[in-house]
Amino acid sequence: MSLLKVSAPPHISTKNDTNVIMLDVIIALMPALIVGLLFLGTEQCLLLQLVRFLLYWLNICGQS
Amino acid sequence: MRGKTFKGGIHPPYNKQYSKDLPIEVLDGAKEMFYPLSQHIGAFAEPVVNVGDKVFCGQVIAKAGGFVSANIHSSVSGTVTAIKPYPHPNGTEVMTIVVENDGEYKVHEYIKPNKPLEQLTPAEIVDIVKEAGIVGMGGATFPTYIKLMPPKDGAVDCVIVNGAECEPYLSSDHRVLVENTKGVLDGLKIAMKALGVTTGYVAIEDNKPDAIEIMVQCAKEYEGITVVPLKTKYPQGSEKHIIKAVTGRTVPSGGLPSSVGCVVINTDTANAINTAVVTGMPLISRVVTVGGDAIENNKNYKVRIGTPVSFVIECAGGFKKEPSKIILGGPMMGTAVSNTDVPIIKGTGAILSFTDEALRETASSKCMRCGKCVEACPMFLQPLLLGAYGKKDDIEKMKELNVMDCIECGACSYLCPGHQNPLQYIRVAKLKIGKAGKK
Repeated sequence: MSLLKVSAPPHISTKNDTNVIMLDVIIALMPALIVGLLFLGTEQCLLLQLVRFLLYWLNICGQS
Repeated sequence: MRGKTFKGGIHPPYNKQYSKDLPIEVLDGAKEMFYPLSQHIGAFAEPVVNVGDKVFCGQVIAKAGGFVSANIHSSVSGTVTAIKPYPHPNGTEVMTIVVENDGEYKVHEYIKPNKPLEQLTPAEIVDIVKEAGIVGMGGATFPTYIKLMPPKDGAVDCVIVNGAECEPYLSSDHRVLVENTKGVLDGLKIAMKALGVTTGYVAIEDNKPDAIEIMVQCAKEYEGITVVPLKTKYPQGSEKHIIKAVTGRTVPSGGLPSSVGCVVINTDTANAINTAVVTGMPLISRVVTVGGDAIENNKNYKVRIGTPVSFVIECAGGFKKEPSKIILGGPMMGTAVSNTDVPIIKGTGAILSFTDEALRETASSKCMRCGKCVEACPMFLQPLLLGAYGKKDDIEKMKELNVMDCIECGACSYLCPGHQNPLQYIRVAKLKIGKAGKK
């Protein structure tokens, strides 16, 4: 039999990794977003566009 | 009935359903048996047999090589064929006595029952336990006889049998508690007599209701022994945390359990003490859980110490899938071995084999300082900082953060959303500090 993998313990880890936690954050913020859109309408839309632009910019910065 | 517990800890998937109801099967030895001279914490044992010698079941083949050391006995009858370096579960090569099994299992004439417990003095009990080579069978493999000698400073007032078995997949202690209840209780009684205490506890996690029930039933006949149900949580089976849960006492930083008046022994160890005192048979076999998703059949085996892992796996029907990792011990604290030639030693509680899918190994990402590790750490350390300093090899800073208090339970590394492994750095630092301290 070929050699087996060797590594330091623990050999198991949780399924709750960073991606899952960040998805939870987005889900948790959904009600706030909806209520925000309801109450503020256009202003909220502007804010969202700004955030989107910022994220887009950060993404470009992160890659370069 | 709410189980007692400690602060911190985690709830990994326990996966005990696969083997917890399977009765213990007794396994005979393999053709060749291997006895590494280091099966315990402390100095290597020194061989007292030569190549070509005939040995019998229970015969001493290596004598303890110091105060913290233990005798090693042959678990089969046969001929010594070699004394050579051989792969050890810890990943190195260790001098090992190889015995060719003649399949007759003739018991050495030296093995005879001791006097009844009532006539034994505490010193005699300690001597029997020492001669029998009994070590902590939960994995730490600390020689038990040292624990049974009452310390000079501070009196011990209770003995706790550790039946928590908090590691996922493991069910060997569970089976011993259910099938050999009397043996465990008698072992506890013997330990209590050796230490001259009148209070004994059997602490069992509440995911083993059948074990608690039968233990409570049997414990009625014993004076001073109480069964304590514990909350199911990892690492409940840690010595310090079981003391906290059962007695409410906190072992001080750097202190031993005896400093708060407690002695903790493993379930299988208690059973081995009873066997050694009643029948005179030293520690030559132990209960091992065979499990994991790559193995054909889950089993609980009573294995003779020295049996190669490959033989036990064959007996369990071999692999149904290609294993990527074989772990001796539990998945949280066990050691991964590179091949299956290594023998079962006194501290091996399980053989687990996993495929790649079960392990789900992923690349690690950055620490986002979520603090989950801090929340979970049962010793109240800050694994995220220890991990960060560990990466920079800043041992001094790690010392300041009490790295030596880490019990290496792995709760931090298990929980980390970024799949970082702070424990790995902590272990390296502890080794380095330990080495520096010896100089």
